[in-house]
Amino acid sequence: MNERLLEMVGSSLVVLPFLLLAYLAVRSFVRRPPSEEEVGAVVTTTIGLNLAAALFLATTLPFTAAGALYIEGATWASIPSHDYQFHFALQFDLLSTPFMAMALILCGTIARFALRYLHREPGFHRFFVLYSAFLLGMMLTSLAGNIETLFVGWELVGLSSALLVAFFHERTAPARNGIRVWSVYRVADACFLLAALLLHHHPGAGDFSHGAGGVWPMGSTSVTGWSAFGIGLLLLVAAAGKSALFPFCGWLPRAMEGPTPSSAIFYGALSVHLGAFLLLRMEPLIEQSTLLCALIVVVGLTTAAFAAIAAGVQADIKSSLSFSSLVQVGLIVAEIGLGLRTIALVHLIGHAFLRTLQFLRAPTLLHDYHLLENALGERLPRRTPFADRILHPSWRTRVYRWALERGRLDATIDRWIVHPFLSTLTRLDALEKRIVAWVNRR
Amino acid sequence: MNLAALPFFDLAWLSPLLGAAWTAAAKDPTVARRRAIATMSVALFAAGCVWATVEFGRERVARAHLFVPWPDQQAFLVDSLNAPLIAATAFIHLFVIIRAPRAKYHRFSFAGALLFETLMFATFASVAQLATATLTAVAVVGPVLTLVRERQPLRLFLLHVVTASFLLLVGAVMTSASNPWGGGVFALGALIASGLFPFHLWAIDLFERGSLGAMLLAMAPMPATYAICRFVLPSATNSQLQALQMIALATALYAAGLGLVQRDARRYFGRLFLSLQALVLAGIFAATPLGLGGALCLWISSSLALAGLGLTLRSLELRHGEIHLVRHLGLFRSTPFLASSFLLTGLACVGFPGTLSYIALELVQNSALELRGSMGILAVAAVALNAISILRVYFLAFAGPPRETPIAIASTVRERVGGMAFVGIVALGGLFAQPMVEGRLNAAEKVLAERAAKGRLAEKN
Repeated sequence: MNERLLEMVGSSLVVLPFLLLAYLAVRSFVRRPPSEEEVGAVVTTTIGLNLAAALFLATTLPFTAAGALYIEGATWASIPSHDYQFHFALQFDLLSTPFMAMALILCGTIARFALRYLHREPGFHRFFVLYSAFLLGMMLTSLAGNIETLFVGWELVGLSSALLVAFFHERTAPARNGIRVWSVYRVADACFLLAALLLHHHPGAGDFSHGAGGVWPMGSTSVTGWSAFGIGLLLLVAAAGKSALFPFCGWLPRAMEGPTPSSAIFYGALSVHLGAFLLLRMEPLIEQSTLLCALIVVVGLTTAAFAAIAAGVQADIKSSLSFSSLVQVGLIVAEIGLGLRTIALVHLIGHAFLRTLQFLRAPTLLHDYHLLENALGERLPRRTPFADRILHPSWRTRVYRWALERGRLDATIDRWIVHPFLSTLTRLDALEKRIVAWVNRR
Repeated sequence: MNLAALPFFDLAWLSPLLGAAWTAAAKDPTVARRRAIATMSVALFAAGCVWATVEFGRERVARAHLFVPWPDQQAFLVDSLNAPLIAATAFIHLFVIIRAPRAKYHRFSFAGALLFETLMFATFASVAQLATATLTAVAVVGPVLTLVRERQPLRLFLLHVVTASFLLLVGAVMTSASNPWGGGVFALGALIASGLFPFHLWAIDLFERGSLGAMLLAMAPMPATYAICRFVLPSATNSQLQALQMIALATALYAAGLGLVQRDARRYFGRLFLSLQALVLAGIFAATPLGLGGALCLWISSSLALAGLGLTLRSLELRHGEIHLVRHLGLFRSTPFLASSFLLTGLACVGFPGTLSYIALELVQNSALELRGSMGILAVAAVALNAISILRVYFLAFAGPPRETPIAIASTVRERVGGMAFVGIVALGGLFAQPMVEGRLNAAEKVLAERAAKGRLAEKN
């Protein structure tokens, strides 16, 4: 197969979403937004072309000699005299290709859903600008051939997600939740950036085709020992922030303030899995440290247990689904910690499809129940909850309250970290104001 | 053709000077504004040509061909360090005037803005310590006049800038007399003028009380940073630079942290400005090619992004008065363009991927981590906090129940033109970052070569 052709097709998977974003963003920014039909046409065409390209690569690559494809993309900034290079690189292997195909199918489905769901909504264009930013971010993240490309995609996904949480910004609650999500993401991103900067000190370690990843699921890394533990720990925090793993679970139900399409695509199916994807991508580095692997298993299982308890008592369908989603994400992360890479990938993809379906049906859940009950000719059977069967009544109330308050995780973080930090800063600010007033004699 | 032989630099600094007289002759403020825009366009063109001369010309420098009102004719020179700074200053001046609100025409001195532009050009073009110190001291007159006109208290500002100017002048004179303490005195003056902790209070106060447009003209190009980069960096010892870098990193984090709790948009803007300027200084004090190159890149990008953000803030203030960040103001529906403009320039300030600051900040953070180990984390934390605060302010200003207003308050054509110019330049600069990075790295290497030469000379003596 002509390698040039493969590279062109592979590059189009990033170039087309970029053009889509540029087109929609520029038209919206200059206040000449395209019509809804036009938006539908360009989005559908982009996704369709991307799916065709993905299908072509998925069917072609297994028959090439390498079985994988690495594309050296454009150089963003290069200083050869100081051995500094910031370039885009794409990698198609057994991890990125299925993940990218899954992202495209789900994004395409959600786009068609959103075109109807948001018809004549005041924020229709804003949604699709953010959607295209998310799509580009997903493509860059899933196909990244080096840590820099992955980070750019990661940031795009984070920004578009936070802005979509605050999509209905005529109300204050979504905006407050948006900034909460953004804050968690920034902490996670700062850890990711630190990890990326530290990887620069290990030659080739940030390059997935040569260093930290290798051709998935094989791979090797030049980072070993405590360096691997330190960088891996930073990556774990980054993944925990992005995937709402314990103790960052608090933002996930808050993210449900966004419109259903964004809840479904971002927090239910794609965005929430990005942390797990990052860990899978960096698996060769992670497995250098047994302690880190154990930590990942603990974080994964704790998340799953916590989310399972919380999911049972949520009062709205989207929050309930988000915690159910988190149970599976926790298990996937635990699988990664145990070294079960392929199982984790299959689990991740299967779960993403299932959860998207559930989220998309969530607004019509009562209607679906009525259909089922009409078909059965009777009420759906109610099972006694598992907790009721195993817990003593006095414990049931306590656990119920704890789960309803989502383990008081947000309150604890606020009380011990956020509030002391902000109140110290507020006091410093007040002190400065007093000094200024005194000097100015006001 | 020898580009350096063409008098672009003369055109750049003379056009606003002559334009100031032309503008002052206009009785009608609308005519004065038009003349100022025409003159500043010429100055921007000339500044762009000067930059091109430096980048592509044979001599890699540009000098004044005509008479310069300064005893030493060699005191002014445009090289790879200051050429883009002059162009960025011209860009900021032009678009501040283009976006000047009609309601303020009668209070705003267009001729004064042109004179100030000449002064800024001269400050950035000066390569003699005494000239820079004198011009920096003279440039203080601009903000002082603005504060006097606005009837705002001057004491804090004067206390700092008079001290800074005095130290700069004394330091320059002592250095010319080969006094070994001259460099230190000059550096202290430059640090006060740049608002590093604990000399930062005046900058916040200035942004809070002064006219935002005038403050952007005076502060956004970061003139004090120039004095540090041109004169302090080449002569400071490694241990001094290490201490200065720590102070700069601490200032960046402190200002970014305080940005999170601001209840006034002006004060927030001041904090963001200080944090970014401190990050630029942290890169400069790294004194490595990558760190300094990143800092020079960040200097240009954050100046432009901050100016774009400040002008958007000014447009919001014109519509809604002071922007208090205590509750959601719901401005999105009435001013969607300003919301987009605010978000994009804000993200450019904090180095979001795709903007020019991204690569620059990565280089600065990388150098801080490399040189100072765990203390380099301060740079990463400062950037993260700035990113949180910019979105917090965005949501507070634009989210919330929409405000009903009896009059149309949609963005005007000139606001859109100005907004697009700033967004376009930070976005395009980010997508095609290589020429800027390369140019800044060349400038960094020249400054470091000068530093190495001075170091050798000091060792010999």
